[in-house]
Amino acid sequence: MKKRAYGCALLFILTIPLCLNGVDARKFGPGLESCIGTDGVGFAAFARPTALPLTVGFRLSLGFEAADYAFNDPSAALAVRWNFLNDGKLGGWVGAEGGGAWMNTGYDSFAIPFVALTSGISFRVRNAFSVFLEAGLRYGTLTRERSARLEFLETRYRETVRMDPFAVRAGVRITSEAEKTDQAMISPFFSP
Amino acid sequence: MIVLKGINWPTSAVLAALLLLTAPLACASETMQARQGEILVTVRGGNAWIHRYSLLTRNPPQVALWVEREDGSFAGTFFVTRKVATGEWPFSGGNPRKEALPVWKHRANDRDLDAVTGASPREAFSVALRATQGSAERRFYLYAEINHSTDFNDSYPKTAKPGEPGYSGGTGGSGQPSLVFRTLIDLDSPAANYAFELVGHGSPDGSSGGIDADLSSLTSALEIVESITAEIAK
Repeated sequence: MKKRAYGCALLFILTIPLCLNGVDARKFGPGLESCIGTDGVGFAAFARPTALPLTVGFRLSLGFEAADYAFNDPSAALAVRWNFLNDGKLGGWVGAEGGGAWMNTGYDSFAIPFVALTSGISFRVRNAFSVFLEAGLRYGTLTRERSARLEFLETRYRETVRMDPFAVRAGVRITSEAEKTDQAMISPFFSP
Repeated sequence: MIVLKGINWPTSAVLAALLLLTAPLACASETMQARQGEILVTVRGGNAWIHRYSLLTRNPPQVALWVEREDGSFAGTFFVTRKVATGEWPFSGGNPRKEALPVWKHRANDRDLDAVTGASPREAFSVALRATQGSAERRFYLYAEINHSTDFNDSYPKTAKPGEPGYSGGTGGSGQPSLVFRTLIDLDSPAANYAFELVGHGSPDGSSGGIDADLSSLTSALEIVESITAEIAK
């Protein structure tokens, strides 16, 4: 039941930018993001390397897991977004990302690779500042076997570690002058 | 309000919300297939394996599995959940919570841990054992001690103060005491399957390492474990 509720909420969030797709896509400029979500507290930088409404970015996050309850699990990911909506006030994108997380559980440390598909919406609040919500699905798993030696016995144990399958983030974006200019030209009513 | 000493509801709520928002992984231990000559110890949870710890968090219990020689001398821990192993309890305000698994704690007596340490398993899990080559130990006890935090009942109320009957560590304490299970393994016996027997409970306040065979004061704790078995792959 709980999983179904999560699924419905995620589907709803994913649907929002698709419903808004009727608005002409405009160019996004580079930007910086700070967010909190299921991968922790993160910072990301995005650039627009081509004339297409594509942005590529690099995200660094510091996460938290239930083994040691400490913010000591860094992750890094590369992300690509197709920005299909930017009317000056609202922005929308779908994206893919891949990276790895370094888990420090308190009893050992290990790396988990992951990939994710996300979709997001942003709302420009003032000047270059926007708030955004991004949600998606993530896959990252690692099965490992560990062993130890006692006085007259040897022991082995297998553990599968799965990343939270829901990638949900909320945060703020600071976009570039290029985006502001585009927005100001295209949507004067939303100009600051 | 955040306080450093002890824990209170607003602090728990803030920390739990933070955890919910930012927990990037979940650990799932697994049942395994035994290889030839191994003893496969499998713990299966019952209806109360997952316990509501707070408004937002539901926890599996703390677990320790260890070996003792037939004469009762301690011979090593082969699995222990991390919080018990390290004594670091994030919501206890620095309290090492000796009442969590007191029987194991007293018997292990702060020896260096040679065990496999893991996150608290949320599902059934197995640990495989194999006699060291040339070992003369053919008969030994396997023990399991399992306990939930804050599973208070009428006999072990949250409000009990130190020194009062039913005191189990206070507001963030144990509630009902730990359960202790045991089986005697005989590697020379033709028997291949052993069931752990519930032999009693640990000290409610952690003040001793003794086992009390009277289980009449326990209620939901008796449903934490469905079964613990040891299977020898001949």
